[in-house]
Amino acid sequence: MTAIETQDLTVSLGSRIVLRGVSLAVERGTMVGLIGPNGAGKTTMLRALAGVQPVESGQVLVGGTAVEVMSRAARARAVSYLPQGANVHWPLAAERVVALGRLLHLHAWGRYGTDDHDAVRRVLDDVDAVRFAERPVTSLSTGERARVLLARALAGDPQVLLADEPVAALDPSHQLDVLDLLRRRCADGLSVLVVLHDLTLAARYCDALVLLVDGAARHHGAPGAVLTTDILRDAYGIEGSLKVTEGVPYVIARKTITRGGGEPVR
Amino acid sequence: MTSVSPVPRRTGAKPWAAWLSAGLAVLLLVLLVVSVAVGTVPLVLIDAVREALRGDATTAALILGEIRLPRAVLAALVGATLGLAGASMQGLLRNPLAEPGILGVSATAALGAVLVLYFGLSQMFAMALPLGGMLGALVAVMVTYGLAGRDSSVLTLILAGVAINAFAGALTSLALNLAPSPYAALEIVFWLLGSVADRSYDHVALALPFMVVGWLMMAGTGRALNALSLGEDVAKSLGINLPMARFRIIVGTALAVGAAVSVTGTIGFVGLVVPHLLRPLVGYEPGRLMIPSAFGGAALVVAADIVTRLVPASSELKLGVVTAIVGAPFFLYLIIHTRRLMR
Repeated sequence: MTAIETQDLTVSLGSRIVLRGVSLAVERGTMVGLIGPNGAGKTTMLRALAGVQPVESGQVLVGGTAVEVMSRAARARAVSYLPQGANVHWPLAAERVVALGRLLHLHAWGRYGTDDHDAVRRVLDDVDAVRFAERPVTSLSTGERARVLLARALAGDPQVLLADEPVAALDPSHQLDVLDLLRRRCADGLSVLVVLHDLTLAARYCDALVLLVDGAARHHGAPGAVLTTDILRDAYGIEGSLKVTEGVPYVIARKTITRGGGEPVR
Repeated sequence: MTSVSPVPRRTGAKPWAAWLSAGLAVLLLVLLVVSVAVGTVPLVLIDAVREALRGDATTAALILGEIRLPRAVLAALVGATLGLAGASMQGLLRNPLAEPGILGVSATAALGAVLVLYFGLSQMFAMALPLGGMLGALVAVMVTYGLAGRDSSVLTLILAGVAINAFAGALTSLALNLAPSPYAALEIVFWLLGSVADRSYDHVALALPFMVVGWLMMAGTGRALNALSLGEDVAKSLGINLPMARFRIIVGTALAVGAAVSVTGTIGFVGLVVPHLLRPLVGYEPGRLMIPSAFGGAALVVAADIVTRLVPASSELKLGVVTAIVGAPFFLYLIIHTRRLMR
C-alpha cells in the first residue's frame, strides 16, 4: 500500500512551471530519497505534498485517499512536514517546540495529557536532545536546533514524514544517528520522503530514489539503478560513480563536466 | 531553569505560569479599588459604597457611582483590549515590535473622531464622537483587506498598515491645520492625547459590545499563534487554518481597539509593552500570552489613570501622555535587558 503518492502533479510559482506532471509513490514503511540538482523542484514537491503549496493540476493521495476529500486535521495528522533550515520565531524552550508537534492530539482546552508528554519525551530522547530540552531553542546551535525540529515533526506520530534536508546542518555522527532513527521509524511503519543532497547518504539509507531534473521525475528506482555513471553525468553534470566498500555504498564525484560557458552538460 | 531529573517532568509551561493570570487579576482588582478611592474630592470609600448601594443620592455616592466607577471600568476595559490585541498582533506578525495600531486601526479611529469634532457633530449629540471613531476603525479594516487581500503575507499587511497610518495621520493634521479656531484645534489635540476622564456608562455601553466581540474573535486563536512560531508553512502543515486565524485577529483587533480608541482617544504603548513584559513569564508562548496580557493591560491602564489624578498639575494629566512617558523609557530598558534573547 502506498503511504503517499502523486499523480501527474504540476505546480507553478508565478509564471514559472516548477513541477511538470510528477508521479511518485512512497510505499508504507519505506524511505524514499528525493534527489536532484539545485532548482530541480525538490522543495516545491515536498511543499505540495504537505498541502502548503497550491497545486495546479494532478493529484495527491495520502494512504490511497485523495487529499481533497480529507479534512484539514486528518491530513495534518497523517502527514508531517519538516522544512529546510526552519526558524523558530520566539525563544521557546526546546521541549515546547517539540510539543507543538502534538497540536492535533491535544485534549480539550489544549491540555497536554500523559500520552502527549510521553511522546514528546520519547522523540527528545530519539534525537539526543534531552540535555538541552529546557533551553531556549534560539540559543541552540544550528545542528541542535535541527534535531529539535526533527523531533517536533515526529512528535505527532505521523504516517508520513516529508523531510527537506534534515541532516544538512548536522555533524557526521548526528547525520548517521538521525538517518538511523528514521530507518527505525520506517521499520515501525513510518513512511519517509526525504530530500538529500548527500548522494552517499541517499544511496546508503533510502529504499528507493526519485531523481528530479527541471521539475520532472527522470528516474525512479533502487539507489543502484538511479545512481549510475550515465545518470549522474546527465542529471548533475559530474563524472562520478557508485562504489561499495565493506558493504557500505558511497558516491564519488570525481569532477564536474563543463562545456562552453561553464554550464553543466544536461 | 535546571532540572534535577534528566528528562523534565512536565511538558507544560513553567508551573507558576498558570498563576500569572490569577495574580494579575488580583492586582487589577486592587487597582480598581484604589482608582475609585482616589480623586480631587476626598471620599470615605466605605461610606460612599454604602450610600451608593442604598440608592442615596449623596454627593459621595454620585461621585463614586457616576464618575469614578465608569472611569475605572472603562480604563480596565480599554487596557484589557490593548493588552489582548497587542499580544495577538505580536503573535500573528511574529514580531515583538507589533502593537494593536500597527495596521492603522487606532489612527483611523482617531481620525473618525477628529472629523466629528472638526465638523462640530459632537455638539449635536454626544455619542457622535465614539460613533465616528468606530466608523474610522471599520474603514481601516476594509482598506487593509482591500489592499492586502485575505491570503497575503505578513509584510504586505504591515506595509498596508504603514500607508493607512500615514494617510490617517495626514488627514488628522489637515483637520488641525484647517481648524476654525485655536480653541477647536486645542479640543482636537486634547482628545487625541487619550483620556478616560468624564466618561459615563453610555461610553461603556457603546464600546463594550464591540470589545467583547473583538475579544471573542481573538480568543480562539492561541493554538494558531503557537503553531505560527514555527513559520507559516509548518503552521499550515499542522492543520491550522491561517486565513481564518488572520481574519479573526485583524477584524477582532479592529473592532475592540477601534471601540476603545473611539471612547478614549489614543493610548499608546500599552499594547506594545504589556505583552513584551509578560512574554518571558509564559515561556514565550504566544497562545499563553493572551489572557495574562489582557489582565496586565487592564491593570496598567487603571494604574496610569490613577497617576493622572495624583500628579499635581495645573490641568489633569492625560492618560495617553502618562502611558507613553512611563512606557517608552521602560520599553527601552526592556530591550537593552533582553536583547540577548531577541536575536
